Order: sequence, then structure tokens, then C-alpha cells
Amino acid sequence: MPTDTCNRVLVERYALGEGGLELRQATRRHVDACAACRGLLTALETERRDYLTLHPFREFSARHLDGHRPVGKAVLEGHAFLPRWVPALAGLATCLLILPLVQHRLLNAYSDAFPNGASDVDPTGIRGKGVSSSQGPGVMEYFFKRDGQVRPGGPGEAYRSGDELQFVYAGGGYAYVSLVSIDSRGAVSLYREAGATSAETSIENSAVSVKAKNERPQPLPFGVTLDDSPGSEFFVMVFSAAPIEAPVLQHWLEDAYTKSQNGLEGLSKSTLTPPVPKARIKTLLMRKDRV
Amino acid sequence: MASTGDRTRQQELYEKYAPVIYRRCLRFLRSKEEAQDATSDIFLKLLEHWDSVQNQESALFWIHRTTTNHCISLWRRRKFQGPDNEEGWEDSPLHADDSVEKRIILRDILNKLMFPWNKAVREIVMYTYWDGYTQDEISTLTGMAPSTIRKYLTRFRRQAQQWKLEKLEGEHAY
Repeated sequence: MPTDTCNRVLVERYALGEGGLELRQATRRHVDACAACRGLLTALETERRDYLTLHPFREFSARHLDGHRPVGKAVLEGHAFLPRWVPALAGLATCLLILPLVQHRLLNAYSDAFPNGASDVDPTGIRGKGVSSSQGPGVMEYFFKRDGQVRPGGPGEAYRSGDELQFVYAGGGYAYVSLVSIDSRGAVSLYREAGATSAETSIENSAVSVKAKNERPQPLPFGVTLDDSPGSEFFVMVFSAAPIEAPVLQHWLEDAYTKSQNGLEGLSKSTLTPPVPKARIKTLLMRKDRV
Repeated sequence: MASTGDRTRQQELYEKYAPVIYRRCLRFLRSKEEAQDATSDIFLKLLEHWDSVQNQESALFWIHRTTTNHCISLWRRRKFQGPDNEEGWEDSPLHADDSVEKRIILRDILNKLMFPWNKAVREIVMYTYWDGYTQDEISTLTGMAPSTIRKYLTRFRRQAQQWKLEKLEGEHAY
């Protein structure tokens, strides 16, 4: 850092103790010689102290790390007075009515994907208002596992943090399939075999598509575990002739969200143009409410 | 969801980074309550991704990028309120020199940001017009060459000029 040039980013890094020794020494020399940067450093330290006085870690920890959750709006609206099993049962009954023909084949595919049986789940409650999936040729269905039980997903089902989703697809002659989602905050998640990679962290410039198998409905080679982010999640499955790079999918969905006049509700198969030529997409909007 | 991990380590990270996140959120959102909610969300994200964040050159850069994108998402959902909502703005000595006129101009620019620029351009525009960072500072933050930053800003200014012309034409249309 030249001593005659102010760089607020470097001063902020210095305040955080970031940077190598040489950079820190150079920044210190500049701050010693520059009244403006000294003032900035003082302001940063004052703001930090004030913030921690008002919002100590124990408060944050109690609210977010110790399992205490704020009361959701749904409770105030009376939804909490319904027994939890009512919407779950209604959803399951609907699924059983809608999917009797494909259920057997898809469950077989699901069993291939989850050979290890039950796993524990977070008891945090997140209730889904319903699920709509796109219709037409090809398949994008899903199952979820909770308390060791596997059930087909469908409208009216209740979803919770920790539920494991397993998507099942039919390739329909396409060579590759990719799964991407965006939440109600506009954060895009890309999925690959190692798990989800948030768009907020660095995304490697590599393809996230998996090679499609076409002989019968297949589970994706990875599951998706629901986190506790509030609101809806919009999933898109993209079928393509070639692998698709992660940034292409990320920017495509971000741009679609940006252009949407109605947030996630405005996104659908009919409003989305596939991210690459000759690709096909299937969509699913999963609504979640904190309870 | 953030892993519970070692509580002492979480406290160290909180005391180091939460005030930085809050300051940026407050600068964007101008409401202490909203800024605090956003800070919690982003800090949980930081804990969740700490393994990758600490391997990057600077956690500060991650915080800048994530906070900017998070707050833009919040704006998109609530429609940016402009300078009417002033809570918290005057409290910070770092923001005290921003005039009402500047804030109105910023509001206009930021409303245009709802248009589909890619994330890199949005970040650079925010750092330039909202944070008032110099191109050298943005280069430090993003790792982009100053020439790339200039190129993006030129594109943005050209588009902004077009918006301005369209607005003027709209006002005088009859």
C-alpha cells in the first residue's frame, strides 16, 4: 500500500487482522501518516464495540444456534392449531391418488439411491403449503425421507429442515441432466454428487451435469437435504445434449429471477427459456413456511 | 444450516465478523431491524461455508460480495424504499457525509439495478455508486484488473444514459 494513496478496503482488512505481514506493515505506515485513514480505523473499532454491546454473541447463540426459533407468522394466522398430521396425511393421500401407476417404478429407483435406510432429522418444523410440478413428457418426481420413512412428494406435503429429497428423472433421450434451485432470497444452489454448492461461495468453472440414463426412471446420484432457509425453493431440472457449466446455470436462473415480476411465483416452465439451445427443463416450486 | 461446531470458535468469528456484516447491511437497508436480521442470515451462511471462506484470500471480500448480493435480493423483494426510511443512517459516522441529494441519485441508480445485469457488474456498480470505492479499492476487493472494472462501468454508464434519455422522452411525450 503506497503511503500516499488511501485504500479503505486495506484499512478494513488491517482492522480485521487480515493480510500478510508485509501488507499489514505497509498499511500501518500509511495509517500513521494519514489522518483520514486513522479516523476510519477509529470509526471501525468504535462501531465494532458498539455492535457487540448491543448484540452480544450469547443473544445470537440463543436465537440461532441453540435450537430456539422465532414464532412464525403461520402461528399467528391460526395454522398452528391444526394437528401437524392433517396436512401431511392430506398430501400423502393426494399423492397416492395421483401417482398409483408410476409409484412402484419410482420407488424402485429411490431404493437404488438410498440403500442405507433411516437417518435422524432435525425436529425443526417447516410446513409446506403445497407443491406443484410441471406436467408433460419426461419425469421430474421426487421422494422425501423423514424419520427413516420414504414417501413420495406431492401437493400439501409438510416439509422440514433436514428432510432428504431424492429427485427421479427420465432422460427422454437427453445425454445429461442438471439440477439447480433458487430460494426466495435469490440465492442459487447448484447440485452435484458431492452435495450442494452455494452460489454465494466460489463456484468452480466446471460442469455440474450428470450423465443421464434412459432405460427407466432414475434417481439423481445425489440427494438434497432441506436447510432451514425460510420461504419457497424453486427447483429446475435441465436436460441437455452436453454438460452445462456451473456459471451458465447460475447466471441463467439469477437473470430469470431478476426479470420475474412476481419473484419465485413468476418462474415456471412456460416463462423460462432453457439455458442452452435444444435443452428441456422441468420445474418444481416447493413452498415452505416456518412454524 | 450452520454446523454447531465449537462454540468458542463461533464466538470468535461472530465478534470479528458480525459487526462488519451489520455495518454493510445497515448501509444498504437503513433499518436496524432489517440489518440485524440480514446480519444473522449472512453470519449463519459464513459459519456454514467457513471451510471454504477461510481458504479464500480474505473473509472480508466474501462478506462484501455476499452482503451486497443478499441485500440486492432483499431490495428486489420489497422494492427499494429510497431515502424516506432513514433509521440508522445518521447514526454511523461513516455515512454522515452523504447528502439527501446524493441518496436520491443513488436510489435512482439502484432501482435500475433491478434490471438484469450480471452479478459482477452489479457488484462493481454497487461498490462504485453506493460505497463510493475507488477503482483501486474495487480491484482490491474483487481481484479484477482496473481495466476490467472500467470496462464494466463504461457499459453500465452507457446503459444508464439510455435510461435517462428514455425517462426524459417519457416525461415530454404527448
